[in-house]
Amino acid sequence: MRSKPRWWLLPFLVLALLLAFLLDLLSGPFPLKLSEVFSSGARKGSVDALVLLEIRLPRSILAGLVGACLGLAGAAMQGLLRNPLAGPGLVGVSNCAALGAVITFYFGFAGLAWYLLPLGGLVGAALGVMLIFFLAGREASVLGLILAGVAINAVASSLISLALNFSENPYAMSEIVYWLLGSVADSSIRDVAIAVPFMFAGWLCLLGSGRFLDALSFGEEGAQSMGFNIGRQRAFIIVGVALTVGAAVSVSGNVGFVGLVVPHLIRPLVGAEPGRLLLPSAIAGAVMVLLADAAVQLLSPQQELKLGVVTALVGGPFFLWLVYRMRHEAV
Amino acid sequence: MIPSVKLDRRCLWLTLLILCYLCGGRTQAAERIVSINLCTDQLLLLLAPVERISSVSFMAANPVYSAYAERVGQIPLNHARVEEIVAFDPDLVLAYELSDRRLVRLLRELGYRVELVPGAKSLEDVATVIAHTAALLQQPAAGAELLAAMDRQLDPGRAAPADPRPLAVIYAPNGYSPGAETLPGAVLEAAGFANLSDRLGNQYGAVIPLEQLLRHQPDLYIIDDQEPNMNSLAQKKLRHPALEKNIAASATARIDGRLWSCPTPMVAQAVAELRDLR
Repeated sequence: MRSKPRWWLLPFLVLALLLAFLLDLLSGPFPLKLSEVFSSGARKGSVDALVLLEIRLPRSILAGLVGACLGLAGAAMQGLLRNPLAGPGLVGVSNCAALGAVITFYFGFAGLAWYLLPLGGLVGAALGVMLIFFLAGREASVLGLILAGVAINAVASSLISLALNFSENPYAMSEIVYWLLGSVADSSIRDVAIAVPFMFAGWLCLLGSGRFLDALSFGEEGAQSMGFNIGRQRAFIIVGVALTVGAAVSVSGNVGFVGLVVPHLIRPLVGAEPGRLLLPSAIAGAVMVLLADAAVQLLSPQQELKLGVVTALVGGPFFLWLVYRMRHEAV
Repeated sequence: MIPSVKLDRRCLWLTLLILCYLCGGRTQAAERIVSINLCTDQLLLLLAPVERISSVSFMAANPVYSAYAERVGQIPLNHARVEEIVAFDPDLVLAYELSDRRLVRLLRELGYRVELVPGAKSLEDVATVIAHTAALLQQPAAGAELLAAMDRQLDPGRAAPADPRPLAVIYAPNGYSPGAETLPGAVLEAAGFANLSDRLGNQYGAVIPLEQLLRHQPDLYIIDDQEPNMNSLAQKKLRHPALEKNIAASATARIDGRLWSCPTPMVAQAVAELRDLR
């Protein structure tokens, strides 16, 4: 928090994003013959072109978008709750979004209109944010927040199993892993298309809240004295988190730890203001999920791991270190 | 080479007689039979008269999964729970080789006779399973009749299909594709197709990633999705735009999964349907 913003951060993150995107695009069960793709650009029906355009490109785009949503939502929630442990996964918002998506998807509502699946995720995520806000309180202690998160996560994940159990679909029960650990495997451009409008709207809400979050870091009175309407601004952020997390989870399941880890990595590089954390967290979130997606494809190409396995392998130890450091600082 | 699907009738008759003798000599024909698995349900409905059937599993009455759902009629249904089964006081419980082991052990400890019907990985296995079940039920004539009908439909005198065999893939929800050591794989081979799953070394079947599927460009896609109108991620995978484009450019068939999900005479119909696609 003591450090000054680094001028090179954004160019560096953009470069990392491009490289991670390329790496993810080139990962897969087969090496892609790029010469084949470009030379046959006009020739329809080339397998390499089909694989690149219809399978890998939508998948990588979705991985990047989902990561950006989670990183951004994590940074915004940590600013809103003024709590460094408030990531959407840890406090149960992602699981609530997954519950909303599960109900709309498995009970046939998602087929009625394109927007109903992300809308289900949105409603679930909104309920999750509001619950955590009221349970943990405005001046949430770390312990209060984590306990509320444990409870919300437990209830939401058991309701996901319950909903899947009631679904008549024979495959539903085995898909619980997807919803709890997340994956972008076999995504198509349709998944990208239904999520993008919600994601962009959420990004606008959250990226526009930077100044309010800066003001909020001086406390509610401080923000109020600077002329902010606290209730309205807070609602704005809650809607933004619900839009981004709801849309991301409804097309990729619950990819954990991104929203927790990414803002922590970025914070020392941007200085004390939470508002400055938002955009870099979004880009770094995209990088993290793209790298995780490349990793799941490289580690086990035949039977892919779920994304959440890799992000938790990185995020879990990071979380432990965070807890250790907080205890250490408290002493 | 196509493996011989000819059922050696003399051998089967002999097996039937020996099994009948062994079973018959030991027990009376069961009169209150309970089946707890979709495959044993169907065999029971085919082989035993209704008055000897106390209960079949709820799956047997679902026409999406059971080829003989219309035969269930008023027969009570069970969900393979021990208390339900005990309530019928069965003198024979038919379970599948892979049925819940704890349930089977508990039923046996309670003194019930539980017979495990083996699974089938080939057309010969199907004939053996039918003969074995007919013997358990002491219905040798019904068993022989089914086998003869199946034999006629398989038409063993028919000339072996010419090489090269067209490459086919069975693609089920989740991208699962059965290999040679499975009943659908055996049906595919008997119908004269090469199986992509075998070519990839998946003898028992495995998930074929979408990219791998597209690269091998099979001549025939056989989509095995029994409830295409349901919503699951497993089935969503079958509607991926890249797969749809590729399927549109080659031959495609939808097969009724009931034909080959269990060792019943329906497998002969599956072979006949796929032969027509060659």
